[in-house]
Amino acid sequence: MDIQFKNVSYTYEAGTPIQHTALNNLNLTIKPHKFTAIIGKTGSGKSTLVQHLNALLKPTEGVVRIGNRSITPTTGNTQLKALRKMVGTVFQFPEAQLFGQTIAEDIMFGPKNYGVKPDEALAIAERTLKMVGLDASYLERSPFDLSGGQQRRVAIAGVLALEPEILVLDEPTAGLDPKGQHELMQLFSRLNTEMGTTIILVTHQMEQVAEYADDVIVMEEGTVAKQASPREIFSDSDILANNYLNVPRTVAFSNELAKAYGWNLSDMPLTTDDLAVDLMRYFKAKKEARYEG
Amino acid sequence: MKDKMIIGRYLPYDSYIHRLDPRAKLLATIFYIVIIFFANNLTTYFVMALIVLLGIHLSNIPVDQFIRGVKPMFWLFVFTSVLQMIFTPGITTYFEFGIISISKEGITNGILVFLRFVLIIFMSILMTLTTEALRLTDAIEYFLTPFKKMGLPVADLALMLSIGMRFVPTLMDEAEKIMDAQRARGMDFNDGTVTEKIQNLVPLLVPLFNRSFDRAIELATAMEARDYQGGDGRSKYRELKWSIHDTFVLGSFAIFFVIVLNLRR
Repeated sequence: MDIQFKNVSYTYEAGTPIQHTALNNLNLTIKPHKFTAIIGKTGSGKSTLVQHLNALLKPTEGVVRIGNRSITPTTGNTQLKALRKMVGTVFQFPEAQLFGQTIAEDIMFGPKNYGVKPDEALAIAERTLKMVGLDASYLERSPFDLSGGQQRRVAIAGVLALEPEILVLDEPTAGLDPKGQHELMQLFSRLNTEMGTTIILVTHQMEQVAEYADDVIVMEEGTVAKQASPREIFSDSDILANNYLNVPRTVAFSNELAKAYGWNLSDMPLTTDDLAVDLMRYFKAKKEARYEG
Repeated sequence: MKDKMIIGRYLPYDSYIHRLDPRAKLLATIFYIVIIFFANNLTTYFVMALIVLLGIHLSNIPVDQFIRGVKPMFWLFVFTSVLQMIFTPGITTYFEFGIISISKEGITNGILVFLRFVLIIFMSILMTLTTEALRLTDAIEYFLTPFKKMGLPVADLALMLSIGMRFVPTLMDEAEKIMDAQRARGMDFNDGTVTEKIQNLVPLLVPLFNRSFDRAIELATAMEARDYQGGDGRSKYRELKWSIHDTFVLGSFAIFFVIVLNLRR
């Protein structure tokens, strides 16, 4: 199921002096079963874009196509519920959406809204809770007794319980400790590779983009400034500078090496493992060159 | 949701009405509501409508903003005025059945009640759209100051009021975010029977309350960290300034009052 935006514009508070255009004639395609990252500075329209992906906002102009469904400015609200089952959305600080007396109740909320029977929903709750790294003993506990990181996991489980084909994540790891961040990113990556879930990730962390994304969309003033592979984006210094984006740590490191010692690695190292391999390869080539010379 | 909520919003235009002192606007609005209860025929209501239209014109705000503000309450007004029409006994009766009687007086009365609602709402919206909430609180604080002598903690009340006002938009944003998150999980807030609709509020209200308590604690901590000692004797960042225009506006309302008194039946 691919996602297509055609000439999409969205204006907040249209017709008042505080009106504000968040999306401006936006065109893009997101391919199914891929891991797509959306980056850009604050106010570039990332979050507004995300809210169009499950029709929480309808475009003021243009068409959003998700699979065989079209959302236009005039689409009726009744058609949107089915769409929202296909597109699960984890918002920024999703722990703010918790309300259940027990964790089970909270996770079962989504499936029940789509008519899943209680015992079946409970099974789903148990399964998704396990996916986010919490065992079944948590089911009967109150979500408000958990730590912030655990609340985040429960909230994410509540979205995964819808078993969506497309999972939209708006800065899902913000405010978590490094271990928690890593575990969540691994979970999303597994969903993508093992279950073929399309992942759309909004993030400010370039390391996540480098490590996990197949495709990157750079947003700038409500339109797409560039859509390409992480490798291409991180070698485009103009795009990076215009949008105040950094390169991942490993890329910065290899750039420094080239500048300070003239060590030019053959490849752009997107992850720490890449960097290790590249360095090894570099030393090997140097050694061989020395023996030959 | 924010788009639909007109009452309590502020639109930052620059106009004659915007520049008036909030105290003048608050007094004028209250005065207007008092006057409208003296109006009792079409002529006087016409005068009252003219006053509001003049105000809207001077505020530079498009009329449709005001109409949008009345919309959520439209059916309530219609219902009330229909009740007035049916149950007002009159001299010239067109139709009578049991306690129901439709008369010329009843119909006029119904229309006037409807107009009264609409005009009062228009006037209140005119005040809130042109005045920042915090300025209105300043005005209320000013009018409460005399009660200080009776032991009323005016400074604290004003602080509570302005914190309350300050967090209305924040809570609205919060509510909107939570609604979005629950709608993303398949919740339909408009669906179902009345009981279901009330039950539907639980996934909205529980997180909202939870977040509000968190926020209140955070705010109290932040204020204590800055060594806040209570509001008495604090100076103000923005002082209220009464100008000749404010006197003029209140003066005109006195004249409107005299006109209405003369034209009423």
